[in-house]
Amino acid sequence: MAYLSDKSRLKLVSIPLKVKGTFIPATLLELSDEDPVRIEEALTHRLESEAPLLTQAPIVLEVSQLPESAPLAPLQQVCEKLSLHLMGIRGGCEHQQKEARRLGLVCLGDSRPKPAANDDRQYRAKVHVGTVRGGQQLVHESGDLVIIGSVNAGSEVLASGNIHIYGALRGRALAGIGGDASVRIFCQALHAELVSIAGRYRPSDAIAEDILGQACQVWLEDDRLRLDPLGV
Amino acid sequence: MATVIVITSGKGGVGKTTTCASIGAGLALQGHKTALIDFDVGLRNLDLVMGCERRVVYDLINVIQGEASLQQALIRDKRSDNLFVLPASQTRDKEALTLEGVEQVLSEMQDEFDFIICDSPAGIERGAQLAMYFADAAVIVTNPEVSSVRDSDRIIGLLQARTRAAEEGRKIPEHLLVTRYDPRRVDIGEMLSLEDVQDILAVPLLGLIPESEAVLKASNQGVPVVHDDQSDAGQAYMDAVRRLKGEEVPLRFKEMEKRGFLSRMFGGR
Ligand SMILES: Nc1ncnc2c1ncn2[C@@H]1O[C@H](COP(=O)(O)OP(=O)(O)O)[C@@H](O)[C@H]1O
Ligand SMILES: [Mg+2]
Repeated sequence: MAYLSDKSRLKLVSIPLKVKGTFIPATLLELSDEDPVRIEEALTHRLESEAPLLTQAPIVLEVSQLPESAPLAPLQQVCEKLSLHLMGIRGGCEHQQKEARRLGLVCLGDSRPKPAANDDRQYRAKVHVGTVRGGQQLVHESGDLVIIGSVNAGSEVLASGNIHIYGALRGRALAGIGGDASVRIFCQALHAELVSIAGRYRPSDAIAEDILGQACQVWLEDDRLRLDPLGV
Repeated sequence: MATVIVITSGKGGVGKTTTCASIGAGLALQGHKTALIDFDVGLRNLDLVMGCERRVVYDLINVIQGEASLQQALIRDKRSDNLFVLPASQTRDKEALTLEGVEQVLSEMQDEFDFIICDSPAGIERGAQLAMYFADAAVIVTNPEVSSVRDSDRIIGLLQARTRAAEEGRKIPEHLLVTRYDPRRVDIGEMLSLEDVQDILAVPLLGLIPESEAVLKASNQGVPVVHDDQSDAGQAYMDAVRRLKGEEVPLRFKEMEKRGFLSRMFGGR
């Protein structure tokens, strides 16, 4: 029966982009010479022995040891010639950083890169006090959703994290809407119209009768949706 | 300052108009100056239930559009000096009912009355939302069956979002009135129990009105059933009115009436 398989995924919330962090692997190349000819020679030699490190990741030039007058354009040309992906520079004086930006390069500061700290990515629980009524939708895109009350028929609660319902679940509950398959749904009495974790879903007619009305949890085991009674 | 109470349900035919008439008449019997406004444009029947349909000259929309004064349009009840009905228009377009118009009529009535009871049309659309918008309290009328409970649930959601109070961050008192309750049908599982309904709606109970032949009789005579103090429904409505005013009244009519041996033998009632 088609509806029994939870292989097809629900796509209910689309997020156009995500900020994942700033730890992109890059090869830092520390220059102690500004002469493009000598650098090209040295790089060519290196490429023969350490090719993967230089060609597979973008390159950042550490320029703080170069004289402030050293131009960057010739260095960029060397990289281009050798098919290296020059991404940016680190360090350097104000004048060099200006030139780098003009050349389309990124200027990294001296400090170590910081982990992404966008507020919207911070994992926070949202607490809703009261019954969620038919026709209402509650969405929390950055963490757990806690409902102190019931989720009534005809309503829908969605969260990127876990969903905890201190009441009956009679409507639809969708956890892990950002794709997190490790999250769960908990409720005190299961009468759901539909449950879903990370897009794997089960409508009410595919929910086993013997679990109806029970306190239970919904979770994914090996990509398969499981509905288990809570407690002993 | 009048207290504005909306009688609402979502679903039609559950007993809103019956409730509006009986709660209004009950409040009037207790000495409160009360006005009933019928918001059901095109399907007016509050005037029928109140028995004043042959005295209708002007209606709510006439007042909103300035074609009649409030004094001209309000119909005084035959039985109570302090009870008035503002009928709905039978013929006008629903669009003539505007938020500004309703606000103006209500504010004009504010100082005159203790209670203004708004009889909501069915549905969750404009008419129902206009009837609830200025409410200070709501009575949610529900029958013990699934579709009625679901519609009431939706209406409660709207009450918490689409009223002036909600927009100002306030929450108005909500009262659940379960009507047409038939303990016999609950017992055999044909109807939801009172507990089921309360469990789903999670709103304090104002009263329980039994399914009763007295209601139909009262409607046909144009006398709110609350006047029939011998009837179960009349007594249940009076209990609800007392609770609305804050009195503690024990719940009646929830269990099946214990019928005597003889009446069981002969099927009498
Ligand atoms: N407690 C009751 N017992 C029996 N019949 C009732 C009861 N309450 C309402 N009715 C009947 O149900 C029908 C609908 O009632 P009404 O008050 O007009 O509902 P609404 O205004 O919600 O559409 C009417 O025929 C009315 O007489
Ligand atoms: Mg009606």
